[in-house]
Amino acid sequence: MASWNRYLKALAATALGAGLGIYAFILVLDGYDTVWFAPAFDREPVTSNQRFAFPALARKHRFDSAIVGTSTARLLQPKQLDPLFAARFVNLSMNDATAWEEAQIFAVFRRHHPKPRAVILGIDAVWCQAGEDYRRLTPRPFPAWMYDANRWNDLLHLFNLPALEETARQAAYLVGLRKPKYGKDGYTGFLPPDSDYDLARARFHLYGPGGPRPVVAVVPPVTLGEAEARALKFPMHGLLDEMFGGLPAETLKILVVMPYHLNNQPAPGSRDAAVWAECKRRLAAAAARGGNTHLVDFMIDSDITRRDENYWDPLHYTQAVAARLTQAIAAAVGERRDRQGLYRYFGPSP
Amino acid sequence: MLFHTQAFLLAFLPLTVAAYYALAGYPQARRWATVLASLVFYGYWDWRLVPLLVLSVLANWLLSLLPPRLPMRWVVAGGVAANLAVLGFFKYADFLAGSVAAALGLRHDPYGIVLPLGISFFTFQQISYLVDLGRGTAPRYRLADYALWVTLFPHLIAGPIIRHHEIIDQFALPPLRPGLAERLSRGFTLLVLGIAKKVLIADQLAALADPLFAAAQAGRTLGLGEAWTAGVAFSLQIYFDFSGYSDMAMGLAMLLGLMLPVNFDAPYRASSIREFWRRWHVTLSRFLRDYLYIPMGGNRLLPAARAGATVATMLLGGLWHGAGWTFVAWGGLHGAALAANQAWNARGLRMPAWLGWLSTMLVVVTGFVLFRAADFASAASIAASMVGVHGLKAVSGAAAMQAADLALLLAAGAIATVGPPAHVWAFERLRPRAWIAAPVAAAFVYLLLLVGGGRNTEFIYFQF
Repeated sequence: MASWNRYLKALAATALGAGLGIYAFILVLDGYDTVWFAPAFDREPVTSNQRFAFPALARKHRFDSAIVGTSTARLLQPKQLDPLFAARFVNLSMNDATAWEEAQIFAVFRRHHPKPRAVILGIDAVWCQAGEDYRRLTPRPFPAWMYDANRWNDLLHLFNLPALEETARQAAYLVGLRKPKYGKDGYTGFLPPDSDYDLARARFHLYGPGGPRPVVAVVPPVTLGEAEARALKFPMHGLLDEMFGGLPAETLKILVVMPYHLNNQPAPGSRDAAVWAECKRRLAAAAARGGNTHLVDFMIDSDITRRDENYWDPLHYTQAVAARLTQAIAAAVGERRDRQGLYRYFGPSP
Repeated sequence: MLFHTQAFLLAFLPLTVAAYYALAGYPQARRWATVLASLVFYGYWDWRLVPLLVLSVLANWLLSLLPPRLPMRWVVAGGVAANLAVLGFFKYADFLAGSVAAALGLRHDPYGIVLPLGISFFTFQQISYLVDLGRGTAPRYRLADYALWVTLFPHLIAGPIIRHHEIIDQFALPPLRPGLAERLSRGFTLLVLGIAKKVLIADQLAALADPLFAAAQAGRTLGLGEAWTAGVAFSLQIYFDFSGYSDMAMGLAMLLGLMLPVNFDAPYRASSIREFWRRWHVTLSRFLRDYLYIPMGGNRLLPAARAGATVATMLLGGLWHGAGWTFVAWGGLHGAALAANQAWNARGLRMPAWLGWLSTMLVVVTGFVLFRAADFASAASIAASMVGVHGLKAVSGAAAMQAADLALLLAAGAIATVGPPAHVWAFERLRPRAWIAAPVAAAFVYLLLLVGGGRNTEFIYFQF
């Protein structure tokens, strides 16, 4: 009898001791930087899934401006944008993000920055797929609990192996055992440095084993009738109202249609090209309604998009191109006009 | 609510167990509190399902109150028919309509009926009570006892199928009676073992089996090695999944001081198909024997009729597992094997134990291919691959088996065939040593962390 009492006590003591000890470790060191009562250590973004790492960055008051988008916008560097816009940018772009996920991370940013100085939204295919509905999530886990206004419910989602692993990584960063992997402003160079660029490899990614081939226009070109164009639905555009609606007039809002390699853009004259054109027309109209809203369209046949050596793959451009885009965005917003062969501009007249 | 979730293990279970013992001195309140907790457990999934369960319990209990002067035979027949009608509507309406439509060359659009969890289990249990009532072998119970027997959360959703007389008397035992620490210790230890079987073994085996069955369903021809991997991996998966669930159920009940019947007794050690069914899903086998096979005549029948009764019993047993013809065929295969076993024994023939084991496992593994496959076409394709019709190459496509997969299969196979069943280890062999308690508790914490990732898989048997 007494020995079963001892067994039970050993069970309870070990389970409670180990369980509470691990939970305390996770809460105090706070790998995801999301526990509101954790000590204020200078934490790093720890996880490779930006959906877990970026809510913490979106709450930081050291930023006053944000970049939101997919991996194509992840390549824009806040430190290059900051001087051009006299702002402090955080890049909240997430790999393979859906428009809905982009709206969620921006909602967190807005909650903590009611009067942002500037917002850049990278427009990708996820914003221009016509249909009745849009995809909200991807196979990558999305921790909705990190995105709501309730910080208490986060505590229910932190007792698990991934949280323990990320907290151990955070601890290693904090004590200097490991070098941080992800930038504190959200920027991480996830592509190799330009010095390692290999055109042959890039062309394989761009064209496949067949090698380079010219863009072939569809003849005769598909044109959408007015009624047909009007019937197209881009339900994700409603998210734009959620994201930008109610932002102060002085907030600079920039929609940037990201520059896919020309071979990855819809072929001229194709139905897809016509759908994209209608999508851009509607976005431009939304920008015109928005006030202090600019649309810069790099998804055209341009000096950037037609050169293979600007790309690692059909979507992702080199660091040099990223720097060039940064300058071009600032120039477009400043000059408020097209620049032939580089971008088209839609927005308030100069 | 799933047993292997943090919501269950860290919130529901501690609160329920605490309430159970806090009400130790109030037997009626304790029963009702446990019924209420069980309904919360059931409704956590979908509260819309709770009224059906409550109605089912009340209707069957009220039936038992009818005066004995009424013709009980007809009362029982009506009650059983009503229970089967409810089960038939929720579980088999689409299957029957689809089968009729297919036979007539018509198309059937599913009715969209939501299958209430565990309906097969709680329906069968109550049918057994009504039949026993008709036979005069069951007493009339108070509502609290009856409701607690049916709804008791450890067995509500996936069994074991408990007969009323196996547990209702236990409800009257004082929870704080001597041996409390031992019961809590053994129960908790078995719960941990059950979770480990489910999470560490069954779910890993599923990751091995699922893509292979999916590939076969998509029309890809499996290689010989792949087909056997699929069959063996699923056979082990369903064993660790379901016996793990039963272990958890037994462990949880023991935390309340209640002993549930054993449901799995090392079935993969069986050296005959008859022995297999005495070890596999024991409570269902007993139910089928007592309420189907014996009423059909059972062992008193002439050999041919007996074989027919056996096959018919197993066909219905197959249908119980799922509303699909593959399940019926699976039951038929086992029925035929059991009938062959009867004929073999009747002639006094013998077989070496190892050969008996091997032939039994062949039937079991082949049967589970049929059980798991989405349709007859993919089952036939895998079975053909298993006998080498599609060539003898070990694998086809890109799915070469990794060393880790092989190790997992071997380890799972060894545990299933050599080690003592978890309930035997926890309830009989476990000695109260602190050096055992500490790793059990540490494993519990590790499993809690593991299941906290939010991607739990459901138990296979939940659908039955």
